[in-house]
Parts: sequence; C-alpha cells; structure tokens
Amino acid sequence: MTDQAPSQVSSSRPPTTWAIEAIGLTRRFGSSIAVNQLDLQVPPACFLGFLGANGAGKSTTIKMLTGLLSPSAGSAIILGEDIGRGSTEAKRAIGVVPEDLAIHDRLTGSEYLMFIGRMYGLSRDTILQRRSELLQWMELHHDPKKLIVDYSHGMKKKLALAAALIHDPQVLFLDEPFEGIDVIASKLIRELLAKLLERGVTIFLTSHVLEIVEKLCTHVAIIHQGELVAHGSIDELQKGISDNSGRQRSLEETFLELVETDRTNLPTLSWLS
Amino acid sequence: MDQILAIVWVRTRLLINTIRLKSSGWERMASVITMIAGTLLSLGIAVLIGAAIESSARVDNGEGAETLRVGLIGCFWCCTFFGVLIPLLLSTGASSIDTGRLRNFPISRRRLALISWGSSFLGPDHIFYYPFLVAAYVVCWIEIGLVGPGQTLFFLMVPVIIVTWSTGLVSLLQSILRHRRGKEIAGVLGISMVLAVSILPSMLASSLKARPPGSRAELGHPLHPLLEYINLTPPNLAADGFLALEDGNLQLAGLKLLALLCWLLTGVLVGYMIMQIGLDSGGTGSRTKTSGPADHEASGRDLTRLLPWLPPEVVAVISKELRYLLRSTVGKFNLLALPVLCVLFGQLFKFDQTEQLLPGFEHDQLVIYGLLMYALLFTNNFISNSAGWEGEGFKVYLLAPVSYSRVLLGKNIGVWLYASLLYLEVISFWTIFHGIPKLEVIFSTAMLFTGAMVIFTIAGNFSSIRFPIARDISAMKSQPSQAAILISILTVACLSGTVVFIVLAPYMIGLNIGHLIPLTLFALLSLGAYRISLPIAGEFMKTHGEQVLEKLESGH
Repeated sequence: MTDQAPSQVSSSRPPTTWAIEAIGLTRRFGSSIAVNQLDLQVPPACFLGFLGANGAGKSTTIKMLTGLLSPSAGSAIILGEDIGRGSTEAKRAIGVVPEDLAIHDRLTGSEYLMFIGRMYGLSRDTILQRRSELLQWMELHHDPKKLIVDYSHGMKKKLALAAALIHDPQVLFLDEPFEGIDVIASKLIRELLAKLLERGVTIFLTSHVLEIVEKLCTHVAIIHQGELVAHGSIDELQKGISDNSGRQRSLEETFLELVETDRTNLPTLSWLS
Repeated sequence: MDQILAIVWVRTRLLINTIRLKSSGWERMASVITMIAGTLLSLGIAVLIGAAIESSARVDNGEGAETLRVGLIGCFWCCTFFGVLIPLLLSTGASSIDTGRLRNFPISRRRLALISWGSSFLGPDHIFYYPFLVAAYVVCWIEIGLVGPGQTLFFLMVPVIIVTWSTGLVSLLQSILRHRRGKEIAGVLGISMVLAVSILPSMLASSLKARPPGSRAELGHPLHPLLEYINLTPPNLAADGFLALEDGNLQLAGLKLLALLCWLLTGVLVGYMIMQIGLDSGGTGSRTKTSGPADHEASGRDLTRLLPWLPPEVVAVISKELRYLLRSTVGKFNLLALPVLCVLFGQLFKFDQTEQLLPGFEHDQLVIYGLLMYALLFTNNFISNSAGWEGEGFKVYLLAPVSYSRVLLGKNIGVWLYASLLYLEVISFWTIFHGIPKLEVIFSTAMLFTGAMVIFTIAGNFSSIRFPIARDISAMKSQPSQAAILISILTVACLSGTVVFIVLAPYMIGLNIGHLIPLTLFALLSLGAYRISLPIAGEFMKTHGEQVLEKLESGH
C-alpha cells in the first residue's frame, strides 16, 4: 500500500468526513522544501503513527495540521474545517502536545489547567471537575503549590497531555510524547491513549520509538525528505515490504528499508576498524 | 596547556557567536559596533590613565610621590572594577562557560580549577583592562626610570588577584543562578544595587546643597576610618608596595607583598571551595519541598467572579498575566522599590519647594508624577515585549479557539491591573510618609497615568509582536529588543510633548481651566485610540504569529 494517491489511512470504506485531511500540503523555508505535496487522509477513531528520520518534515507537518504554521500550498483540514485558515471550530476540536510542550511554566499545574480550560471556553465547574480528575490520574496532585518550572520532565509531559485533554478533543496530536520519560509515566500515557482510542478519538502521534508505535498504533505513515513514502495499517505496511523468504518484517526493518540512505560509499572509520 | 587553550578558545568563540545569534542585520551591526566601541574605550581609558599619571608625576610641588600613588591606585581600582564587574555581567549570558559542565571530561578537580583560573587570564572579559596596566607601567618607566623585577611583581599581582577573586565570584554567581529562587533574589538585589548607586550621588548632592558651605567639610570625617581599611585592599597595597620599593624601604614593601599574597591565597581557597560545592551540588534543578495531597478545588481561584462582564477567555489571560507579573523578578522589584522610592524622593525634593515648574502644578504632584513615570518605565518591559515573557507558552494562543484581539485585551488589562496596584502603592505610601495628597493631585495623576499607560500599550502591542525577544521572567536581564526600546523612547518623546501641549495650550490661549480637564480629555482620547487600535493589533498578531513563535523558539 505504498505510493498510492491520495493516501487514505483506512482499511474499510472511507468516512464522509475525515478526521485529518492533508491535501497537497507543502511548506517551503526559503529555497528548501520541508514538506512537499503531502496528501494524507485519516479517518475518525484511528491511531496513526507518523514516522520519519530527523529532519524528514514530521514537526513541520504537525505544525501545519494544528494551525501553528501556515502551508505554502495545499490545505490542512480537521473534521471538515480548514485549520490553515484559522478555523475556530477546528481549533476547538483538537488537542495538541507539542514537542517543546508549550507550557507557561510560572504557573502551578492547577492554575495552568484552569487557564487552558478557560481558553477553550469551558465552564468553571467543568474545569474544576476535569482538572481534579486529570491531576489525580496523572499523579500530579501531590503538591498543588509547586510551579511547573520545578516539575521534572516527565511531570511536564503529563501536564501537557492533561492540558491537551481537558476540553475533550476529537483529534489529538502528540509530538514525541514518550521522549525523555520514565517507564511508569510511559505506561500511564499508553493506558490513557488506549482509553481515548476506545472513545473514538483520533490520535496522530510522532515518535522515534518504533516499538511503541508498533504496539499502540493501528496505522502508520512514513515521511522521508518531506514526502510521504508509505502509509496504511501496520500489517499492510509490513506485508508490502517482505523479504525473499516471505518473512514478515518488523516495523523497524520496514522503516529502515524505506528511509535509510545508501551507506556503501561512506568512508570507514580507520581508527575503529 | 592544550586544555587551557581549548577553554580560552571556547570562551572567545561563545562571545563572537553571540553576535551571530542576533537575528536581524541591524542587531548584528549594533553588536559589532558595541565591540569596536568597547575596544576603543579600553584603549582610550588606558591613554587617559597614562596621561593622568604622567601629568601628576610631573607636578613639581614636593608631592610627586603622593600624586603618583593616587594615579596608580586609580589605575588599579579601575582594573579591579572592570575585572570583577564585566565577568559577573557576562556570566549570566551566552558568552559564559560554566566550569561545572566541564567535569564530564577526563580532568581532575584540581586541574579543572587550575584550567578555569588559567584560562580566565586570556578570556575576553579580562584582557579588556590589561591596556590600563600597560599604560601605567610604561608611564612609570618613563618617569622613574628602569622598573625593577620587584616593582614589576607588584604590577603583576593586580591582575592575578583580580582574576582569582573574579573566578570565585563568577562560580558563586553561577551556582546561585542554577536555582530559580536564587536567580530571583540575585535579580532583585542586582537591580536594587543599580538603583542605589544611581540614586546616591543625587541624594548626596542634595544633602550638600542643603548644608551651609562651612559645614560640608564635616562630611569627610566619618569616612576616615573607612579610608584606612581601603589601604588594605589589593589596589592600594600594590601601589604602596611599588612606591616603597622605589624609596628603598624593603621592609614595608615586603609587608605589602605578604598582604597581597594573603589576598591571593584566600581568593584561591575561597574560589576552590565554591567550585567544589558547585560540583558536589550536581548543578541544575532546584529543590522544592513536597507537601502532602491537597484539595485542588480550593486552589481554583480565578478572576471570573470579580470580572463577570468580561468573556471568560479574556479573564483567563488576565489571571495568567497577573500571576506572571507578580512572580517575575522585575514585577516583585517594582512592588518593593516603590515604597522606598516614595520615601527617598520625598526627602530629596523637600529642599526646594519655592517655585512651580509647570503652571498650576503642586510640587508634590510633580514628584508623584515622576514616581509614576518611573513605575511606568519598569512596567513598559512587560508591555513592549509581552510575547517575549510567554516563552514556549505563546503557542497556546495560536492553538486556542480565541481571537487574537481578545488575547491582547486580556494581556493588556492584566498589565493595567498591575500598574493600578503600583499607583495605589505610590499614593498609599506617599500618604503614610508625607501626608495625604490633595484630591486634585490624586485625580490628575490618575488621569495622566491612565493616558500614558494606554499610549504605551498601543505602541507596545505592535512592538512586542514585531520585535519579540525571549526573556526569562526570573532573570535580571529584562529589557526588550533594541528596536522595541527605540519605539518606547519615541513614544515617551511624543507622549511628553503631547501632555505638555495639552496642559499648556489652555494657558497659552488665556483659558484658565486648570489641568484636570485637559488631562481627563487626554486619558479618554487615549482609551479611544486604544479601542480603535485593538482589532488592528489583533490582525497584526494573526499575520505575524508564526514569526513570533519562530523567534521565541529560537530563544532570541
């Protein structure tokens, strides 16, 4: 299921409204093209792992899909609304955990969630209830007076996820959510994501940890040098690239097959050989 | 030696790279100009020092040795001032290097201390004052003939002691700045010191002015014991030792050298201990006490109930903005400094209450205006770089389903509420220490403060979107970008002209209506202008949001 246009990440009949739809999405920075003519359609209640090497264009794509970066060409559509044009409805429907977390770190966790809840137009009572539950779930309730700047990296990640969930989004974008966190926090986040998927939330996740993507995601899309080189369910992807013996490859092998550059002409490291 | 040279190279490279980090061509050019000006200034000061010592040594009034001593002491103190101050200022910036981070390399602690100390001699923050010493040395050679090795040793002791103490102080500052709370305290203390230094001369001048001419000499007496202690400081010891050798008084010179060695040894020990503590504390991350589970419902205070007529998202931004302002170093400093300034300014301007500077204005009123404008200038840091204080959090405004003009309105009201707090503080403390101001004074100052704050906000909304610069709210350095400063200066100039014109115009046409009506008109017109500018600023933020984010993410 590689190199097919348009890139539908669906296994059965296409829905009437895609949760996420990229049409010819392109972003140029000066003369260089970070993302080139990206076409992608993600149905509701799909867990998509968006993979790519460093500098492949993952973060640029996620920024365009969340409205943080306007595309040079093409459209980014969330649940039928063009987010690139600043659609308020599209913004209300998404939750985002950016790679840098984008937290106001001189607030306490409680204050930050109150702020975010208000920004998404929730009532005070709703915020209080959800905030209390989220902080308990994330195990961030022990020290309410502690400023976020004093949190550990894992705590900040969990808080950013809580902030992305407080308004009950239909589509969740997670940029490297498992980077720099311990096993316990990782397990907690995985459990939460599984619950969200059961609820019908569409999850768009980028990660370098392919084992996690393999375990969690239902679908995978791979970007290489700004272009989509593969997409589909994990099974479809692994079957699409099988070795001569017919053995099904792991996601890592599949990924490397698609994006690894030819290293045969590289010089050897003389002092190590 | 290779390791020392490597660190010297890194120090220099970091300094040069700060220029490359400047995003715009204008800012890069400004940095290059600053560096060239610094070098020229250094050479200029060296020439001035040389000329001063040379001319004082030539005075043939039997006090040649004494004037040479004063010249040398002046030169050595100048070196000490620059040698300690400049590394301390640079140690908070991108051009500094934290010795603690070098411990990952295969270097023993003693060697690390030695490398750090040795490399400081050739660091760009110390070579700045070497020309001063060279100039003084050359002049001494010309004036008194061949300078012997003993006398040269006294000259060399000056930079050695400066570098030793400066390295220790920089290590101390860096270990303090690793902790957020320490950073905030250092920030408040730093700004207070600058303020004290800037106010003291004018206070002293005012006190002298108030005393009868005959009694001024009495001021010198309490300083005499202090002057005796100053003779035990390294610059004085080095100068006295140099001259003792010149007179052939070997015993005195030996004593001075011994004292200098004590300074050096103490500096080495203190510096080494500070470095050890810094390395053992593990560096980054602050420790905070963890209390038990608490009720989050109780901590859910927000301003929605106090400001029910405003949209909730605007109130959310106001709450966040107020919390940020009250938790920032500059925000805390303003609240602490204003009561002190109220007392000081009140005392300072007590002496000449004879005439009115502006028609119809009370003298106290002008002092309160001055205080409020002072507060306004400090608050301007938040207004003209409002996006810069957000850091990564700015992304929230681009992601949230809220119009940008509402975001700006919330941010602006947050700063206005904080400014109102400052206004109330000024009036309250003025009342406590200098009596209740007239109602007319309270009203007119409120109108002027409102008008000026709103005009600053209009300019600040555009400059903070167009020229954002990432700032840490707990840092000492808080000023906006150079372009935003320029806009603020222009705003102040236009504002002052407008206010003076509004107040004086009725007098000039013979209309004696006082200044209350013109100032009220000014405040209302400012608010009207703000109302018109807000949607335009919102649209400006919409079109420039990506660039703001890009600048804040790049950290400069």
